[in-house]
Amino acid sequence: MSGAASPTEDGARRFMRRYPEEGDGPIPVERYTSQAYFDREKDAVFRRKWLNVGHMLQVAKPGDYIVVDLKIAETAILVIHGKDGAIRAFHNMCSHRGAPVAWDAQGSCRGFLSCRFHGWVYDTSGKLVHVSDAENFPSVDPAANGLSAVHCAVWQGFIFINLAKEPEESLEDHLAPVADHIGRYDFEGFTPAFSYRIDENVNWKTLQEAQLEGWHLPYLHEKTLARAVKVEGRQYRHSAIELHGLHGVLGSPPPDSFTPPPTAMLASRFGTGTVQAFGSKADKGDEGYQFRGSFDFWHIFPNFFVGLLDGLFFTFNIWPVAVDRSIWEIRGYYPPVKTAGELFAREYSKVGLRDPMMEDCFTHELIAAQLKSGAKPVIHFQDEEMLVRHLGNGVDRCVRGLA
Amino acid sequence: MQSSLPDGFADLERWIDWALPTEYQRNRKRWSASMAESQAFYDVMQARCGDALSYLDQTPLTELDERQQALLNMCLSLTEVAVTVEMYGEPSPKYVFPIDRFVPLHDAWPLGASGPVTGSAR
Repeated sequence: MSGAASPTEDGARRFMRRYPEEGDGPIPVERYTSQAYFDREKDAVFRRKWLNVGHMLQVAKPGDYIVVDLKIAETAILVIHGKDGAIRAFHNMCSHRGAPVAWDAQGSCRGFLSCRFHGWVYDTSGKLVHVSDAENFPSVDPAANGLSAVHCAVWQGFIFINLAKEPEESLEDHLAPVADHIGRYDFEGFTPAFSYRIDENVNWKTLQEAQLEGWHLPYLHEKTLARAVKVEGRQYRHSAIELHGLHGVLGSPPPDSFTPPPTAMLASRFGTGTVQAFGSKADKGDEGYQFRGSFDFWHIFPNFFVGLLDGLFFTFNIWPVAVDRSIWEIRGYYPPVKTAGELFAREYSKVGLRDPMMEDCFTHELIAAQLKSGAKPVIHFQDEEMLVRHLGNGVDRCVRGLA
Repeated sequence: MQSSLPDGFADLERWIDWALPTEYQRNRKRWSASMAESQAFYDVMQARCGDALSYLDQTPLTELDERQQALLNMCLSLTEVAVTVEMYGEPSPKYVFPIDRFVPLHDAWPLGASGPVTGSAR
């Protein structure tokens, strides 16, 4: 299902009327608090679906690698840029006794990784090329003891893995509902500019939910972001909510009038950032990316976000650790800065994105703690929270074997 | 005594403890400053930050010397204190995660790490 939402569409429940299959009823709290439900999510979602683990810019050169901790699957994944140019993923585990072969979250090798425990060596294609003290391992066939591979594919620079023995669909198929939309964005010319890691006592869906609706902006972010979005009365109305398969997008309407604070004006004299990104809806022409608002938030099921703005983009990866604990990884990509003034503008823009997310985090933990009380069996989502509902529905369909 | 800042910016010397090299440190400074101190630093940087950036922009970012970097770091602290003054109206807002839990990992970014804003203070 897709279709552009018109912000002028009259009447209430515009998204519920467009997406009746999503329902409009209350949501069981059990989905956020039940260990049994969480265990089912593990198998039905995280061991089956394609998962973003990073971007090519993190492993730009042959020999570069990252290690992604996937507690949800009780493994750590080594993603490595091969000497042959291919991107591969492996369980980060030596075939000898199970020690990690890469010990840092990010690094670069000259073509080989050697286990720090006893020195077995693997090349960048995962092949075991050296067994220390080989004559004392009569039963070890190096050809059968390479690193254990994990399915890995790259789309528009975004690196995905799939933990299934045989994925049910290709990455291309998984992304098919959104690829033609997001793929129009020009991802060239950006560099990694910042990243954050937040370890929170919250269910992974609650963590995502504040990013799946803008309706809370004038409330929770009254002092920060509210001024950069359009508010009608006190209500925020998305310029678009579109569901695309299990994925979806929010468009955030630019404010009718945006009076940037003095420091934003100063920053805009020296570089691009806040004023340009939030002030208006960019027009990239018929062939270019079609902005739904001044910024668009794409949710890629189950746990990945790409936020598209004019001149910068950022990503979120939300990793469940336990039913009540999750890791939020945030990465921002900006054009490279060459001057102090550009760096200042970028820093100002970054802080402006960061502080509202710090506000989000504070609520996550309070909500998660209180949901455990069992005092309420359900929570509620309104029409503007359609994408929140869509995530929960998608997960629930997976858990029930329907998606 | 030689100034810690480039010639022409000696008037900012009394604010030198805001010249901090990492986001983590600048944010901590913002949260620990009093409102009066925040407002005073904000006011002086509103007046001087534009001059400072125009001056620094004459030199490529990667070639700034130590005193120029100190001046840049002071400018970057304005991005933090601006939130205190322009948005919250208080240095340590109540319902916000602290930077100790919202951990900047910019070290891990080879390109993001060029220039002086490197490092988290974990």
